[in-house]
Amino acid sequence: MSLLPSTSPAGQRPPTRIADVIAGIGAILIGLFFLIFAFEIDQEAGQSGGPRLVPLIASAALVIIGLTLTGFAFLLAPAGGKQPGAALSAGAVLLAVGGLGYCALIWAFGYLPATLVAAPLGFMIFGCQGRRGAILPGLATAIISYLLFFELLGIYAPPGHLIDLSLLLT
Amino acid sequence: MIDLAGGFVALFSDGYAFLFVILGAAIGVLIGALPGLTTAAVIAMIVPVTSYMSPLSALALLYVIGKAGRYGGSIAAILFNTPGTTAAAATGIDGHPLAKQGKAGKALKMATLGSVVGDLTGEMILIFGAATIAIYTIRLGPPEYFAIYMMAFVVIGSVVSSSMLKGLASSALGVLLAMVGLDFISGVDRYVFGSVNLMGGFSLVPLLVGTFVMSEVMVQLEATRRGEMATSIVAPPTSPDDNNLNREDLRYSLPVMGRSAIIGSVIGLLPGLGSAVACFIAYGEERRRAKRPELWGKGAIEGVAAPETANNAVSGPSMIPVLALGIPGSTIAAIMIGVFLIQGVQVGPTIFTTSKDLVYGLFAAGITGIVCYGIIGWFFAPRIGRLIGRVPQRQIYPVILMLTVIAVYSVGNSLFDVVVMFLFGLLGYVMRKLDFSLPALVISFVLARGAEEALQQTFMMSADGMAFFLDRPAALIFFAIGIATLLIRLYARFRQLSRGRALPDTHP
Repeated sequence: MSLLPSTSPAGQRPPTRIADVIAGIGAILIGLFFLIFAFEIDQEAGQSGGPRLVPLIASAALVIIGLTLTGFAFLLAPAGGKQPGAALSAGAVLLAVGGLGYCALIWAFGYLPATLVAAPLGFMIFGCQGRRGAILPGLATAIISYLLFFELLGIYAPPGHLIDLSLLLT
Repeated sequence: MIDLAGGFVALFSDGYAFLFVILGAAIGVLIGALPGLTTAAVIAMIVPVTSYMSPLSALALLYVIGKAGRYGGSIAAILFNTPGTTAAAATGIDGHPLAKQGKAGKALKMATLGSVVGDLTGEMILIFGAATIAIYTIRLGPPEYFAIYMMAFVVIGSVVSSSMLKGLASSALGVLLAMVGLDFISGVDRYVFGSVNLMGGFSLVPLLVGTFVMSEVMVQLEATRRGEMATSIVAPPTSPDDNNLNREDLRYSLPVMGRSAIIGSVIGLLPGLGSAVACFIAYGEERRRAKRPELWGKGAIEGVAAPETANNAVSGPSMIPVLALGIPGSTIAAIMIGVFLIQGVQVGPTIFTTSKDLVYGLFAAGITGIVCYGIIGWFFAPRIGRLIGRVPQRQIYPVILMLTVIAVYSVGNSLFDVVVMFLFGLLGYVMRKLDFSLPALVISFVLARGAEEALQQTFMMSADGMAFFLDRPAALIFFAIGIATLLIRLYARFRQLSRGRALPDTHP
């Protein structure tokens, strides 16, 4: 998916590219992070190759690419404007954050209790509503997946580390 | 041929492997037909399950899903004008107008026939090409392999994305992510920050499932919230001929299929291009040569045959670099390498001696899978289309989300892997939004350790360091190909920029 329009009238300058600037700066920051910590990798003095070489080359390359990307974004496009596709969807970010919260719930209370809470919420995030749209399918997904994978196939279910509610439910 | 016969014996004597081929064909067609969910994402999701299977069953299942998924995309393209996969993006141009004319059955049968012809052509090239190329590549040493890896990073990074710089950045990031963990030669830890969980590095499965499946779920969440649902606008057939291919259809389409199969096969051999590029090149070429140009874009049956033949012809040849060199040219090929490694099989030219039965069993599975999805498509494609039209997408993705959590957790019984999956999901989503390349990231992640190993071995072979490469002409050729690809891409970009023409993306 390109964030930029696929066509522009001949002779006109390309549209502004906030997304490209963000992408370039992101690449620079990630590259710098890996570059700085590449120097922390133990290396024998005078050793050719070694464990530091590839991380150094790749991180330096990422920084250079990021700088070039940002430079081109400024050079080739006028300032201002907004890339419509660049905005992150709140729902998608919520899903990722919710996913991490779900992992925390599993760690704290075990798989089944966490999933009984998270699955209906997952359906709600996707716009399903009510008892028949979200809650019942969510609970059914949680129970069926638990029975299928952890009981029938014998996968070791993650227990709760704070309170193992799985013991009460199973 | 004897080896291939042995492959069929291996496939059919392992009853489970044959069943998984049939299952793979059915899953592939269904998933391919489902608008939105990519075949690579589904394969990534199934990878954890394959660790419980025999090597042949695991590889056959995923290989056939990849093939059938490429075909299945045509069902959604024809019926909904929403390609189920990027590989079927060109199919809807003529396929959907045919469906609106009441000729959906005809278009679907042509898509099936074209896919089968293309796929069988590609598979034959794979069977006879891979072993032949492996005879030569087995002589290559670490310097040549390092040069090939570098060529792959540059070519895939610069070609696979609409933006060369973002593709290369994605490759660099993939390499860096692969560096996390203990160095396999010195035992030194890198980017571990004291975490025991990071000592072993990031596993392939959470990275794959996160970047492809999770990010896909996030994108679909956006689409469902915007109310973008695939709807079918198909007219009923007016005569029995509308649901069948007649002699005239075949007369116009068979030569198209022959040429498109060759185009697809050649593109399949080249790293990074893939089915989406093949289908558009074949469509464009056949439209240029069309005997009935007035029909193209309005419902030419050849307009369905060309892209569908080409996109499936990519499948077999794209495995040649995997088997002959151990280097993937596409996302699915990268996943396949991961599965080979999970199953304890080392990919590369020696595979034809060390795991001959497995390789030829995989070839046999490919041919059997093509026949299976051909039968499924020929007889059931319209029904599958109707079924897909009824499936409430809002309820599919939460279920997929729950299944991915279990799938990733089950690989190593590790909740940390699930956390990593969600983080890579967010990374994948942001990368998609900013137009970075997920295939380049994943392929580079898979290749990076091999590249580093080849480089370290090269340094051990000689005290001259990088100058050692100057004495290796084959290595220099591979470096030159990478540099030439980069320069050609740069030249093309600057030429487009200087003309001020419309560009898919205007940055170099």
